[in-house]
Amino acid sequence: MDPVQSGARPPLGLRLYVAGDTPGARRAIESRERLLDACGNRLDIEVIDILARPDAAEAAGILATPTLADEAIQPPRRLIGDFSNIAQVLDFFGLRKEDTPS
Amino acid sequence: MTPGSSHARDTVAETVAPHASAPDFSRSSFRLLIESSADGVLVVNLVGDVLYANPAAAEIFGKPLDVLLHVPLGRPVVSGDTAEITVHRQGGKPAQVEMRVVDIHWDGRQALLASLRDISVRRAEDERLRQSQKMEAVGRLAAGIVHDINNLLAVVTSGLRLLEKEIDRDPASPKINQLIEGMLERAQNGGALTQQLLAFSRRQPLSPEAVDLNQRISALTQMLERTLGRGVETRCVLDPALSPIHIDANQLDVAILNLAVNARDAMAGKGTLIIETSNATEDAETDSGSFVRVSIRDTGCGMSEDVLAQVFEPFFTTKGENEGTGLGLSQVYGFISQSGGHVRIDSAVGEGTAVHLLLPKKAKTEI
Repeated sequence: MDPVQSGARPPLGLRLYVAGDTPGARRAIESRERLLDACGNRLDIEVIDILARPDAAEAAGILATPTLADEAIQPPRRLIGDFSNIAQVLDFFGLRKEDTPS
Repeated sequence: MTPGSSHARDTVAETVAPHASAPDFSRSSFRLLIESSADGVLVVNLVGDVLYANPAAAEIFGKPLDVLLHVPLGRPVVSGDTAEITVHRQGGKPAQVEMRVVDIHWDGRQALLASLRDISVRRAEDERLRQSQKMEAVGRLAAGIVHDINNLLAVVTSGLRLLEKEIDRDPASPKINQLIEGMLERAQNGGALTQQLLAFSRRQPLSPEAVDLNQRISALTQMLERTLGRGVETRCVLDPALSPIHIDANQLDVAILNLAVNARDAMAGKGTLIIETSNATEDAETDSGSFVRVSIRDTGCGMSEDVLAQVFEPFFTTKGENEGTGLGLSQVYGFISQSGGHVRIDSAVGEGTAVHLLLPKKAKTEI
């Protein structure tokens, strides 16, 4: 299954905000790997640990973690919580083919 | 819609009130329920802007209601029933929050209602319980290790006496070096034992990692032999093709130690303890193939059905006063469940007991 749109677009750059090594953060990082596996070079997800970079979280206005954000657009599009449902995440960020069965 | 306006409040009542089934509840009753709920309630639109927040939600986020409204928080998503999130408050401690999400309509549009429960206190209590269970296990280990350290001290003491005599007899004797080397080795053995105990008792949060279970069990068995005493023969039957698992290795040690000590007591200090590992085969009750199995078998007195029904309850024990606290098996059950695994017990009076731990394999990465 290739849920990713075809074409030579530049990769979509998302940011994953986590805080330290909590169970929620670990789940989010596992989901990140699955998202990258699903999208190949069409997706890039930078991980930001807000304990290490509190300034980055403050600048972006992140209130809770894990948050997955597309900050290339204004206002930014964000998901917060558990990203294990990969299809739902791909849909939200417009990375899924319309005709792909869920 | 302005923060806290009557329109905002009525919309909550309209959204949540079951019009037909509970006609006795007025809108204001529902408004009161939500406004005074201890759980935080947020209504968020599909792009993630906060449309409504109750006072408990404002408290969880550490922000006044009017600031929280229209904040681009993000669309809340869960997998299964709940998700755990960390809420970061300026100048305050982060809160661990359990979040539930349901679809609703708000002002005629699709939206999401997120209910938020601050579980920071519960998490801290869980952590304290885990630590006390671990310290109980450390006490058991220490009993075995103290005996060993006494033996090592006795060897070192008699070695020093021999050394004294040898120096008196012939200060250039080659035996002097041998005696010193022997005592140094014994002292290093003692140091290794206390290091194991220290590593075991260190306070640390539950932290799953990829674990080579066979290697872990082999290392633990050396310590178990001391703790269980000479009457108990320990045998390991380890599957060389075992898949790696994803679990907190320290808590797993505590669980196996607890089961081994129970086995020793069931055997009254005499019998055979067998630790087996294998890849779990198809199992109708679990996701087949996703687990590895560790079985701890003993040749002890076994358990009746009545006892079996209660073994996982905290503080349940068949041991005498000052012999057991009843926290051992509850630690095993709590830890294994929390790790996404299962515990099964096969036992019958007079036929011994086998406890099977089904432990999740390393997390899959495919969709």
